[in-house]
Amino acid sequence: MINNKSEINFKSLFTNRRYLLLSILSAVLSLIIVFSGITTQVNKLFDLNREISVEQDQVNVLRQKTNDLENIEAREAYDSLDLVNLILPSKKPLLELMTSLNVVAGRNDVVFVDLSLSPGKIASESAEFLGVAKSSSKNKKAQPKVSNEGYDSLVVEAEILGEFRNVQSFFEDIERVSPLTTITSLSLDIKSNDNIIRPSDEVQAEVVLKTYFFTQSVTSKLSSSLPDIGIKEQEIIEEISNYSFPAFNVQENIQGGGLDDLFGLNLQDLDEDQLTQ
Amino acid sequence: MMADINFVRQRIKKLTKIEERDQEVFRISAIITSALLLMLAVVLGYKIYLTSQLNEIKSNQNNYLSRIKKQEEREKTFVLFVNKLRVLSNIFQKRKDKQEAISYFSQIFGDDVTIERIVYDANSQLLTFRLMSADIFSLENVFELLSNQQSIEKFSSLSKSNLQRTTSGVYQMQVTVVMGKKE
Repeated sequence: MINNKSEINFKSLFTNRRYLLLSILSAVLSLIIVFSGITTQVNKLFDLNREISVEQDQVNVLRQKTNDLENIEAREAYDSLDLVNLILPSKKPLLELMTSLNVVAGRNDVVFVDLSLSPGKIASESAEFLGVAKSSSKNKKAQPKVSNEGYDSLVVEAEILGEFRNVQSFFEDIERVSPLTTITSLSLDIKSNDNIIRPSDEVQAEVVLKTYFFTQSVTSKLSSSLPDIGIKEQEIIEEISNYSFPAFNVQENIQGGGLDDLFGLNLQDLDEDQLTQ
Repeated sequence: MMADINFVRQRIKKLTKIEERDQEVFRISAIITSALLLMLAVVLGYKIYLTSQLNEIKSNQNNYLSRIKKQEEREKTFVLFVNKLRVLSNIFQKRKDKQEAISYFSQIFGDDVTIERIVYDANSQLLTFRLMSADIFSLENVFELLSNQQSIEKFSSLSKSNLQRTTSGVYQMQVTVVMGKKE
């Protein structure tokens, strides 16, 4: 009887309050749309927008970098690339330094009485470009130890002899040649009787020179922008343009000696008996 | 006469009223639901638009990256060039301090005083001069010059030591300077 009543009630409900039921259904649908549709999608939209903004910034950097790289020759500073490489080479500039010392000494009419240096490994490449930084242990092992300042130096001790004015001029000139050289210590031996130096007096000077070379391991990310050349760097370019760059000819062929008998020993003159002894 | 009592008419009237009110509620809820559906469609449409934009940006990015990769050698040369300039700038700054100090002392001491020995330590920015003078008056003048305000302000520290007179009657003195202005 009760079941019959409720059946009747449902029927009456569906018949008489169908719009109310539809309204409830519509409200439930609205809630579903709001919570699982709009809210989620709007959050995703914000994320997407943020991502676009980040990616767009990255594209702008990449566009700028591409343009910079493709028009790099148009940069005025880039013309000084060779000069900078001569002033601060990426390997120990032993022979270049010897050439410069010789040229500057000749130009200023001073002579070397003594010259000593400990070059260590001279053929090793010191600077390198690591490209995109990788963190594999193999690479870490292969990286050479470099100074924090990005350069190392080659020390040369020399004794020079000449007129005081020429020696002074030598000191000025030696700090304005390639490779970059600086005087770290200097002492004068005055040969005049009254201990007063005149420009024409002959003096002997002990000088310790330091020649710098680049040792920094440089890394760069593909997506990072090119480094800027600031005012300080521009000043350096201007400064080194006034330096002198003594010509250094790289010897590429073996000169003299002959290929068959490199040490110049005439082995044919020795008979077999002498060789076996 | 018997009174006309019709309960059905009352009931129908009441039900009609309820139905009208339900219809009104349904109309409003249908409008809200339709509006929300429209909003969802707009949001989804905008999402599709943004996704296509992101894809386009990523494709541009890949395009630029491949162009940059082709210029790898140039980039390497340029980055090394700029780093070398920065290293040079650092060395030049230290050297400049030394050159300025030597030039300053060469000028203020005059012809009667000779700088006999100079030792420069780039790391500690220490510059040591060994001065030589033929007479004590010139050396006294040096003392005054080293004690003046200009000399004191120009360097972080300035000290005089090892004053001595050699057997040949020449006066010698050591001046040690720490470069860089006082803070």
